[in-house]
Amino acid sequence: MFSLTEEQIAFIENDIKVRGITSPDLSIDLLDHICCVIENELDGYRNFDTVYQETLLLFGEKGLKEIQDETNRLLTFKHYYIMNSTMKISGYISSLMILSGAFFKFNHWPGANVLMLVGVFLLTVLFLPLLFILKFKESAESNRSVALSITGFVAAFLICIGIFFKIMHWPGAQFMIISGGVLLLLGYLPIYFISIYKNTTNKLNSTATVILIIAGVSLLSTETWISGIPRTTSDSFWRGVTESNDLLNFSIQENDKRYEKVAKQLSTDSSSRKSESILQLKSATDELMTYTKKMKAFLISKTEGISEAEAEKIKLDALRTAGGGGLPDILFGEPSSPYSAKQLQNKIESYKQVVEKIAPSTDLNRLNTGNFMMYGKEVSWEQSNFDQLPIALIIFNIIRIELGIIATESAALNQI
Amino acid sequence: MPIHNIIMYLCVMYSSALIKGTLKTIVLKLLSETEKMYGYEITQKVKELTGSKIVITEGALYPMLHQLEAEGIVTTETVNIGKRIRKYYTLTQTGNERAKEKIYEFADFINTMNILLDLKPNIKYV
Repeated sequence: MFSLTEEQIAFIENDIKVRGITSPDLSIDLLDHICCVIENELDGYRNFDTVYQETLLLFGEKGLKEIQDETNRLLTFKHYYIMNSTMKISGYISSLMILSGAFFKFNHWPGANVLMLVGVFLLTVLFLPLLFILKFKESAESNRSVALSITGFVAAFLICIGIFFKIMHWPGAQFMIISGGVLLLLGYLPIYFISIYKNTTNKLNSTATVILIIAGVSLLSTETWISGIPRTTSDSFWRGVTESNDLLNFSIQENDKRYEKVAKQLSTDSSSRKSESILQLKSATDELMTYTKKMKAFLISKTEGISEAEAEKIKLDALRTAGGGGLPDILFGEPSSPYSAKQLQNKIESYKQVVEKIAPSTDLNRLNTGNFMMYGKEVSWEQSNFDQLPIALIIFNIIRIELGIIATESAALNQI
Repeated sequence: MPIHNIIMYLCVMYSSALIKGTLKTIVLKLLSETEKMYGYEITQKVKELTGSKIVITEGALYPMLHQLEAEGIVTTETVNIGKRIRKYYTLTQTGNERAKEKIYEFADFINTMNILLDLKPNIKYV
């Protein structure tokens, strides 16, 4: 039996590398194996090169690389199976959760937000990455399909995370959704289009996909445009909100001055019945105003994710970017919520009774809590003020109600 | 050796479909009888024991050995042989049990085939 020289071994070792074996573990095996075969085959008649070439034939048509590929396939197969089924299951569960969450939200049932959140979360952290990994492995042959799966994944990830951020009222949501959409339209679609026309099989299917993607992205962006009110309109709306708030504070101060004046008068000319009525009016007004003030702070703290103390001090202008998701549950169904539309309505009604008792001829129309005609349809007071509205509008409506309370208080003071 | 160019999982006498599922059993059995073996040794041993009726190809052997290693059925140790390294494969504890199961399963299969095909049974359980 012959023994290979160091140069020959080094030559084989290098040749294995050249033939595409990258795994050091496998190349150790192959080097030893090839050396063994050659050492057994070498005789006095044939030279090293001939025997080496013959030995390589042992490894089949596709050569050494095939062994490495087969090894990788075997090693990843187990993971592949688990990943594939996890992807499918998480996909089913998350889409089911998002769908039922939307249905719950539509019906004002509690738990809608939790369902949607968990659904979107599953979709972004489990389904999409797994889909990407599996697609990426499948498409590893051509550059085009690698680019396709990368852009597709990044775009889908951005859009999903963006929607998740939007639901959570975290900053940057809009940016992510828009850049995801842009990437989908300018990155993914062109590459996809090219691959369809290079690959003639199943053109109809792929064309349909392209059309669906374009339609989906357009719908998504129209939604964003609609919710983005034109600047001038939105600016005057916000001027209205801040000015109403100023007017409210001004009226409260004016009423306080009137109380002081009346108190001075009463100290000289004491009429116990009159002073009792005024005290009653003040305490009833204060109670109702405290409730509305706390309600505003509570709602803002919920939508903006800040504490109620911070919410009390927030500038109304800062609500420009706020969404207001989740409020219907708080204001309507949820029994654990300390503030509700119904409760506010009851408080206003009992305030009206107090005022009527003290000053019977006061005009109470400013505090009407009856049904309201909207677009030819009768809508309840709660719905017209709070239902399906963004937080900014709800706060604006509460300020309007507060102005009504202060105006009624002022009118009652005149009557006493 | 033109035949090697055609079929990867190859035996000389039997069809590849017949042999494919038994490769693991053969290797496990060999390893359970020897303390440690290296790849080339395994191929030669099979050839020798079967009188060249069954030949394990490199293309089938090494991927399978690496898979067995990843599953914890075999462990490896390396020994320097001059300029090159030789990797020895040894069955682990679980590997030994797996080998017994596989061999039993296969012997049982052959018995069943005997009954099914009405051959004269000549098989002993291990």
